[in-house]
Amino acid sequence: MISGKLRALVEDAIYQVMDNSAFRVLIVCVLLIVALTFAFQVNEESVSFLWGVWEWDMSTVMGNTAEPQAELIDNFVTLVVRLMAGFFGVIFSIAATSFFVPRMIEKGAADMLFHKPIARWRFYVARYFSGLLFVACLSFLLVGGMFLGFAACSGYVDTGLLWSAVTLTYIFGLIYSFCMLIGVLTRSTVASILMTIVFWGVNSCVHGAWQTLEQSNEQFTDGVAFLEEQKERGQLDEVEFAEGIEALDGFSPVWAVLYRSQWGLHFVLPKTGDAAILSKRLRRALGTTLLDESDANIKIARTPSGWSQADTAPEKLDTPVLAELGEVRATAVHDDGASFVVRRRERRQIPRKTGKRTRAERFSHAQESLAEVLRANGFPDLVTGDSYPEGFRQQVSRSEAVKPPVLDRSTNERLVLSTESGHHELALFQVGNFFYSLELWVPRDGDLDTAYEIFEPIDFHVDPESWYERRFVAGAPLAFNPTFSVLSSIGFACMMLLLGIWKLSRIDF
Amino acid sequence: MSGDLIIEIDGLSKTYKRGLFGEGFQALRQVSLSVGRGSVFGLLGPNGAGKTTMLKCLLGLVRPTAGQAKMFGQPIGSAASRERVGYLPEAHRLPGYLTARQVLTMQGMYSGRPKSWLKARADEWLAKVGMTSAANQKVKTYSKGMMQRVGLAQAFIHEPELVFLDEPTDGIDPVGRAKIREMIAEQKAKGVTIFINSHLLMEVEQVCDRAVILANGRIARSGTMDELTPDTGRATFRLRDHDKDLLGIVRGLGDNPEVTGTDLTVDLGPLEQDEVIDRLRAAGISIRAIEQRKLTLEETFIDLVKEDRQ
Repeated sequence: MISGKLRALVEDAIYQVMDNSAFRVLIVCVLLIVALTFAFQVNEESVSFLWGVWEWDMSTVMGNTAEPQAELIDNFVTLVVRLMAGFFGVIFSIAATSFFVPRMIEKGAADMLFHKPIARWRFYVARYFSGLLFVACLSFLLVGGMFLGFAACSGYVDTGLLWSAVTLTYIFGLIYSFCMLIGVLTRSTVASILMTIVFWGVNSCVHGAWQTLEQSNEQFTDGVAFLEEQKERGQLDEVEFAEGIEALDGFSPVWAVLYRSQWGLHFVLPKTGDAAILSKRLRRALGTTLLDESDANIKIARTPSGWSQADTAPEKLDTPVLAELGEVRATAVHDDGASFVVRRRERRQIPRKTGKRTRAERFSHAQESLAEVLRANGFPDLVTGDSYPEGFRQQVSRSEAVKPPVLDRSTNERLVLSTESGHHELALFQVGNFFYSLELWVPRDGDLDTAYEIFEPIDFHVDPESWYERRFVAGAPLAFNPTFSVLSSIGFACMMLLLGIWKLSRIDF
Repeated sequence: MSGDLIIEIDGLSKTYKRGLFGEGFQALRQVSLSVGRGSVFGLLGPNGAGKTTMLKCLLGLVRPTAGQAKMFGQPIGSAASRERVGYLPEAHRLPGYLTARQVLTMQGMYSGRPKSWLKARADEWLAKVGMTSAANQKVKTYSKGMMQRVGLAQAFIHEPELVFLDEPTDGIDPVGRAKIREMIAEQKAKGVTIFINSHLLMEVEQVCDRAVILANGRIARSGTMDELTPDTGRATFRLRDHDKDLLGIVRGLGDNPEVTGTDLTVDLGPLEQDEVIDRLRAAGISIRAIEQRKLTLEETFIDLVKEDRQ
């Protein structure tokens, strides 16, 4: 019996969506965009329209980039999914579905529905899922169509792209819950649309402001930590330390109140802006690359020619050294016998010299710690005075594509260790909350200079990320935690739905 | 459920709040009544008397402020109480994105009927309300009368045991009204209890067994149709051609005698009618017919409303 009623609710939702003229307009728009992915053929060398009617050289379209095909398609997808669908599409969908609830509770229509032996909340939830169905159909048509277009006509397969459809539906679901609440409170479609758009704008502003304030706060904390470190080393006396703290100029009382308000709102409101980052992470999770670290946002996009992925890391250095470098994240071997291993470890909490609190390990600590391990294992004295081996000094965080210093021969920043088995090059760099190490190895009888040529194509891509994106990783504190972001946003949507249901149950029709 | 009662209402009251601090409007005041199975029950009253509020209370669309009521022995407001109920709301709005056939199927499914079961019945009901030719058109293209017909069909499609019809003939032409009366009679014969809320007193009088007249949120009068439309005591005697002095013949009997052509009309007491007949016959006047003048429902209604206003 219940399943029959449920079926009726589902069928009603489908009929309602299918009859919507805005839905048909959007379908046409989506089909036009999808058609573009079939009409244009993109490969590494050229872009052609309708299988060669017009053709452009890739270098004139994209300039000199490592992976022009992927980059061009990615730019197109970003434009379509994030801007067109993720912003205008969502607003248009809100406008097209906002009448679902006000029309349902209009005099006459409400009587027809709510006298049935079905609880009101079921109708309300059904309307919510009608809205989701509306957007899900469009999103999956858009994203699925583009996926097929790129795969069929450009030979570009990126299964991760399909996550974008889920993300679009997710964003809409968060906002639509608010739209429905306004609909049931005001019984007005126009009020629902306007207030939802205002809400979305305010919500984005709140999170933007929160990120700015949080960044300022972190800069202040880092500044204090740096001063404390200098003070511990005896490089600052009490007066200089106090002056330094004053110069950092922490939050004024007004800013403190603002900060706390923003902080509270950030926790409560849906984090729609995080969806794009989540989508990017999910896309990467589905990709097949040699190294892809979604939580640190670093990857080796392509396995260089001559290299193949290895299951286990060739143990070239002594165990204590390996342990210090962290767990193995990627291993590859070359046809000529060379190998490379990427390891990483998380930043540790180290005790302060004074007080009971701990602080996050800095890059200098990691350098020092590794150097000590190397020294203890019989490698040459690496530390002279205050300087460290230059190969350990580079910190990678913001550039788009980098070669770790050990591969960048022009800067001559590398640490070469020779053992009985061969030559090792070690690089240590920090990305976000992690220290990465790259160990390159060539056999002792091999030519190190020649080996560089085979190492040359190894590119580490660090996506250009905002301050927030770099912190928005699994295991981060609550405010930056993706799981919390998703759960709290869904929690907000549930709260909106519950309020709407409560209000609906109180209405006398 | 006590006896064979389908609806039992006990002291039902409803006050609508007006604003945060405004005084409430009392739409229903301590209404108590019961409706038996298989009857056609009329609910009458002037605008604002509380008729629709009462229906909506029973259907869970409005929450009563006080009192209690049951349908099929289940407290109102519960989904179970509405399982076997059909409803045609006044000024209803059907979903414009559906066709008439889809509306009937959907409404039937909401009432728990399987789609396959509804398929044949939808065609049957579309034919009954004269909507077969427009069955596959979207409701948004319909006229008011067509909407009303579909609305009526959806109230019966799932074969409910109790049907509430709020102004069922609204927007329907006279031929259509006659059909609706037939339909109601047919459903009554099948044992369906029908609860009609209408301003068209003639129709109520024609189809209802019992009625309640609400005024100002209270039951002003209730009873069978005969009880609500009693004899006035005024009788008209249709007589064959004669040249007699009728007023002289009935002198001393009844009040307000009137002679129109060959006919005599007079207010009579319970035993006076026989006396008048005797005198007319004794005078050699042939009586063709005697018509007892009953109060119409409209007159009863207007009298009650006037009383209430006074």
